[in-house]
Amino acid sequence: MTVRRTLAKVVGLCDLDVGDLLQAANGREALELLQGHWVDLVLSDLNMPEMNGVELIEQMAADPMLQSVPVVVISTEGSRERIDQLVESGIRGFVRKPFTPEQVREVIIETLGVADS
Amino acid sequence: VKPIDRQQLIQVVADVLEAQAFMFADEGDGDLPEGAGPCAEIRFDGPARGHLALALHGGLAVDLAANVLGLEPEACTADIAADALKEVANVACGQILTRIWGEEVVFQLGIPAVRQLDAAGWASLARAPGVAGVRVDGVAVLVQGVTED
Repeated sequence: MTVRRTLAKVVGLCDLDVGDLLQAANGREALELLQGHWVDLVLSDLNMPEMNGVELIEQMAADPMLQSVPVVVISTEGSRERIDQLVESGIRGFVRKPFTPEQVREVIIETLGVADS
Repeated sequence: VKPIDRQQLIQVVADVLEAQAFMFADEGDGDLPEGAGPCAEIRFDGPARGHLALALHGGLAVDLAANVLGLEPEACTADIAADALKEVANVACGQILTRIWGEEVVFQLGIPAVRQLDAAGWASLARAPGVAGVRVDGVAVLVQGVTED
């Protein structure tokens, strides 16, 4: 809840033309949302109950409808090996916690390829 | 159990509180202050197994949540405060693992949980291995980091 609230606030401060901002408490809820909504970007934590971020990324990669949706991981993870594994699995960005709003803004702009206004 | 390096533990908690909540921790006179309040605990497993606990006295968890989320303290319910404390413990745990074991190893982190400590529970935690006390704006904080055989 804290991370979602914080990210929602940060995204709101990004000065980007963001439409709907959907929120899920874990990977399973995120997959359910993704089945019913087309999204441009997924910001995901790794350490989540029920379905963690790695499982979410694996499930998205295995789904033809979701495998092209860019995923940015925002996590306390500090293992280079784990981050390399995530990059190999196709994530488009990684931000380590604690993060600054600027870090999140930069990775969103870079991932979506939108102009920095 | 084996305590995690006290100075590293204190430094990580101070750094995370500052970065996430704009709160500044100091060791005070180095004592283990009395208190009562919520305590978040998160387990880790990998090259070492153990846990980190973070306990905040009184209403400090509400102030923490307010700062992290940019809300008025009055808007922070107990659930919101507990969730913010869990998140800070989660981040502190990830940071301490990297600082001690480096970036080349992989740890699995558990899902943080919060329990309420009364004065006796707080005192018990204060006497436990691997506990350090700090203060944030004069309010007591306990942090525990231990590994297990």
